[in-house]
Amino acid sequence: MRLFPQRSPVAEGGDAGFREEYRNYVWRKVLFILVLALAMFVLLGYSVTVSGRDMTFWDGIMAIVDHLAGVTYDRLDDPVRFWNDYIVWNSTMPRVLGAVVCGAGLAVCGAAMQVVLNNPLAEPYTLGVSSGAVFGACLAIILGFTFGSLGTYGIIGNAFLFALVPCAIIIVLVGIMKGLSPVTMILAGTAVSYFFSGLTTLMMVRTDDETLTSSFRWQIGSLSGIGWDNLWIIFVGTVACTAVLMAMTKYLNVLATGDRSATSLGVDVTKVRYTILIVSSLMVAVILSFTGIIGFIGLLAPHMVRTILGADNRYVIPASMFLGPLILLFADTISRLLAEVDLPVGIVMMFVGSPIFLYILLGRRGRRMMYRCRRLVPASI
Amino acid sequence: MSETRPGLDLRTGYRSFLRRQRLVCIGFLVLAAVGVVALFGFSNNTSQSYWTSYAVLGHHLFGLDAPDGRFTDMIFWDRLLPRAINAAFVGGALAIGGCVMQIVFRNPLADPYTTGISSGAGFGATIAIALGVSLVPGLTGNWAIVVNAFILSLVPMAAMIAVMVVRKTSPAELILVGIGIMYFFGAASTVFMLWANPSDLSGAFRWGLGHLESVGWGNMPLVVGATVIGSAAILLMADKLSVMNAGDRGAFTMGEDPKRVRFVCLLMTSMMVAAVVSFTGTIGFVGIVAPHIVRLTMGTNTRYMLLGSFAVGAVLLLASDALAKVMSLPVGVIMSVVGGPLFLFILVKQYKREHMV
Repeated sequence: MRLFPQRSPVAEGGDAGFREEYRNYVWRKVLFILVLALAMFVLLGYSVTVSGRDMTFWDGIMAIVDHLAGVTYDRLDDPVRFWNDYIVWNSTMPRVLGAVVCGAGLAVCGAAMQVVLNNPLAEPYTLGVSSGAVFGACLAIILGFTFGSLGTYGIIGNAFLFALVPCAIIIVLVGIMKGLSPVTMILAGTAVSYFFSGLTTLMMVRTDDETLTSSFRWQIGSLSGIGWDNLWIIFVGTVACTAVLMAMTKYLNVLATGDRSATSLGVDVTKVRYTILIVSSLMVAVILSFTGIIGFIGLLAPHMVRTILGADNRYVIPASMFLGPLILLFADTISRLLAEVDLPVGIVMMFVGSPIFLYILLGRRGRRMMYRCRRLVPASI
Repeated sequence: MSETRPGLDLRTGYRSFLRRQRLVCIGFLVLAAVGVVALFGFSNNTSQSYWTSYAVLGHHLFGLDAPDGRFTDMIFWDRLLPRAINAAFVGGALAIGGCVMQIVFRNPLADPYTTGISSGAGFGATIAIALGVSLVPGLTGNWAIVVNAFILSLVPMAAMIAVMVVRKTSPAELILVGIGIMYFFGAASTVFMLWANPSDLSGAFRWGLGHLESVGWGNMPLVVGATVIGSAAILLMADKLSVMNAGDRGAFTMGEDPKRVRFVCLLMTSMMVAAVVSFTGTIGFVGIVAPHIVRLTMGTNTRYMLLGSFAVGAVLLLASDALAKVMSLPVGVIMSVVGGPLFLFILVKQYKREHMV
């Protein structure tokens, strides 16, 4: 599919033609992003109305509109509407909004990581964030060790803090070894995550079956834990970090030309890389500690965008920001439609994601991708 | 890497280099054999002392007096000895498999499960444990798990080979196809584990970790047979494999069809590893670490690297299994806790070597 043919920008008509051409080039990309955003809002509208209740699309929309308008129903007089309102507003809304925020965060983070680590297979979890988070969560679930209160927030706090450990280790390593190459960073991330998952396994083996089940469940990405009380935390974290990443997109473009040419163009490569890694790790840590591991979005959304838009990060990042939520909303809607069989969104993403992954891989882009990462394909996961 | 100092004849230098490799290989193989005898009675969880193991061995091999104790003979001869022998062969098979994969895919991170064996086997075992489904009708219990694991572990490889036949693929692409299929199987296993009751989930989880508790004399012929046949076939192909090191084009100019070599090696290695894995579950890191250890210590003559990997893998797994018995943990857990830092160490060492030449 080639929506945007990559012609030479120097068209007939001299300077004016060039400007015209460039304007079209930008306009098409902006249009594409707008279409994505629109699609996301449409799916958002539909998704809100999918719940366990027997309720039509318009019932759901009306419930939201009424709630926003301040209409309230009495539980005894109008039980149907009361419960519609209750379910939509208290359970579906935060979850759907959570899907949007998490999807956006993961996709943006993946796009940035792929550029910064110079590896098309990089994703938000490449540097071991997820293994740290799972370790932290298991520490709380299995051993009852937390930095504060027990219960859900203890688990979340642990997951968040330990998710940052791999990133910290890598930064320390960079300091000691005077600037690691992206390849070595990925390898170090892999080793750190091996280590953490080894420790996690150790804990999981030693515990009883029920605790094992709950720690196993924690890892699988799910949006059911998101409610109004924690949505704002994810929202603030994601928006702040995304803003920083958006501000750095022009450096990302320079970085994509390679470390040496970026340096010669006056970009402090190490600093940019540091900043982006820290910001992305923070963002992923926030998301991860509330949802568990949701795979593939960070890997696939940027690639799908690049297939259509090309590799200009000034557009790839915002487009990923809308495509990520679109994918996650889709997966979460499936997950809620199949609520009887208990299919967390993380698993739906795995089923949806692996064919897309194979498709992208075996497609035309895959070739070029492969060439760039031929030495560093993680062998097993 | 050969030490051709000026003044030393090149040929003599090369010979002595090969001789040294041969010696190291034999040394490790002997160490593995000694390890089996020395370690099998270690930490035996009975009131018997470590030395009883030699009395049992003497009784069975040389007809000496049987040691005291009702279950002594059963525990030492029927449980611990086959476990140690199996450990050595399993470790060897995984390591030589890892070595072949690293050469064939030209990827230092490849391991014996690169063709998706771990995920396929895990899925097979999970459906056997959680749903009681057996792919071959009539089997139950442990054999259902083993047969399921074996059959399904070869599915990703079949898909990979199909892709390889249909279109021109680079090694990296092949690995990624394997990863894609792995994700799918992984998702399927996760679903069934999620739906299972806690004890089945725990069973499937523990199966996937890699364990040597359930091996005995009964499965020995299969594990040892697969390992010996597979390793022998791989060693016979060592020349072709060493040509593969020159890259696909280089192999072509030297008269080998890289695609065919890759195909045959994938097939043989996967069959061997699948046979082993279906009894033990997926024991990680042996297959990835052992070839690196060999490469760092001995150099890269392919034949000795393969043999050396086998020996080092056997020793590694034996030692970890001894540790696993002391701590009463599945051996896979020991391997993953020890393997991570070991892997990091190896990577750092290689990084230094690459950047200081």
